[in-house]
Amino acid sequence: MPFNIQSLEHYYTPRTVEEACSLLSSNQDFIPIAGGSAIYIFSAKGLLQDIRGFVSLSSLGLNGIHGSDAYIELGAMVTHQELLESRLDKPSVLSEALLAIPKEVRSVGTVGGQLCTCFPNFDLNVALLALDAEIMVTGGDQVRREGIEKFFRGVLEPDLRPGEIVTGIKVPRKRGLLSGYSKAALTAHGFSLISVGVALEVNRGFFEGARVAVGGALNTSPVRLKGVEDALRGHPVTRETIVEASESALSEGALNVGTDNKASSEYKRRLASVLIKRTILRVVGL
Amino acid sequence: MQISLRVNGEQVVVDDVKARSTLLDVLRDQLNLKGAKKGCEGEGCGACTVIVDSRPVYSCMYPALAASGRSVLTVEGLEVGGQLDRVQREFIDRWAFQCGYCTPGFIMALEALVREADSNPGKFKEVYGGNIRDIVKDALTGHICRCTGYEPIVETALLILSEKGLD
Repeated sequence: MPFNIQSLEHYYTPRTVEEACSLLSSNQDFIPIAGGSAIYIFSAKGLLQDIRGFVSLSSLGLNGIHGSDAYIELGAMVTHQELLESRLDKPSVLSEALLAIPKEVRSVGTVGGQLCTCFPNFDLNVALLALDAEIMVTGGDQVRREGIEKFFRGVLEPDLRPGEIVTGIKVPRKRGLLSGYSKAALTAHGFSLISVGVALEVNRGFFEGARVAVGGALNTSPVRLKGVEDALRGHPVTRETIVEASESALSEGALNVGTDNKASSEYKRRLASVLIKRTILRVVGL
Repeated sequence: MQISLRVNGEQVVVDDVKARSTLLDVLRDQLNLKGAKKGCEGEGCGACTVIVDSRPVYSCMYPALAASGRSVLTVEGLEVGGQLDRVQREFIDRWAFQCGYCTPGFIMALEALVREADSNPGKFKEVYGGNIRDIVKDALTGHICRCTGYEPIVETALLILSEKGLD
């Protein structure tokens, strides 16, 4: 069955970033597409009914993968599989999140494309939030840099003005970072009910830095649980600290989960707490 | 719109491709290749899997216009001179299917994995880590089979890969 977008007529493949941005700013009912696989999901749900054109970003040369001591830099059109296969030294949370995505989607889906959906179920969004990624955005002339939390304004609501696209992502590297990703879903590679990405810095037996990101069937984009992070930071790396911190997920206001046909909100909250505990215990080796 | 692409080794030109069309629409409705199947609504059943430029993709989620200039391999393209290929024959010999609806998808996913192993065997452990059973699972978990219980399919995959010295 074709994409369920009755109004869709146009498909452009511009050759330059300027051309892409100009097409998008002069046609407010056009949307940029990267790999295009998420389009099917959103169109099947009837979410793209008024879209008249696709602007494919596939020919803009946004395919670079570079690593320095300070950053991993990825072009927006780098596919999940290309990132997985790259020889870059990747934080575990990134590799583990990539391997949670079905291989057929990894072949096509891009880093920038999934980011722009701001979708809580997309594994890499959770990992990139845990890693404090920065997003490169341009409207054609200059590039601005934006933190991922600000970028995730809401589901399908990236912080982009009309005519702006994402050109790349910078992931800060931290020496000795302990990180990991866990996911619970109803089928082996299904959309997550809850998923958790953690990135921790440990110094002399104490948690010095902690980022705990949660995704899954949320009412929002992926979120950081700052209550959990606060309960870790400055505390000794012990089972007690971790159990106590993970329990604060049960009352975290930022975690906005509802009851749906797959699970109740209480269940999802409990699951978040359990996955946080297990993931942290695993990455610190307890 | 018109696209030109390579399908099962042959250069083809397809007219009247809509912006709304998926690669699966073009394969099934315009090129009459009915091997790849429509199964789910984007949740990941794997029945529509074909290989595009050496990589397995869900053709139901692949914009047809994005396939322009690419090389597509479907289950129909595996047979050479009336002979089924290794993966197909092994599926039959080991009874790795029952109703057959998911089979073209599984075969193409396994085909992609076998070709990946042939082209760069050293890459496997580096990229996926773990043992060969984990690598097979990674390649096949994006597929659903409601008949076999998966074991004969996984065993088939392990047999073929073990012959390449990967185990």
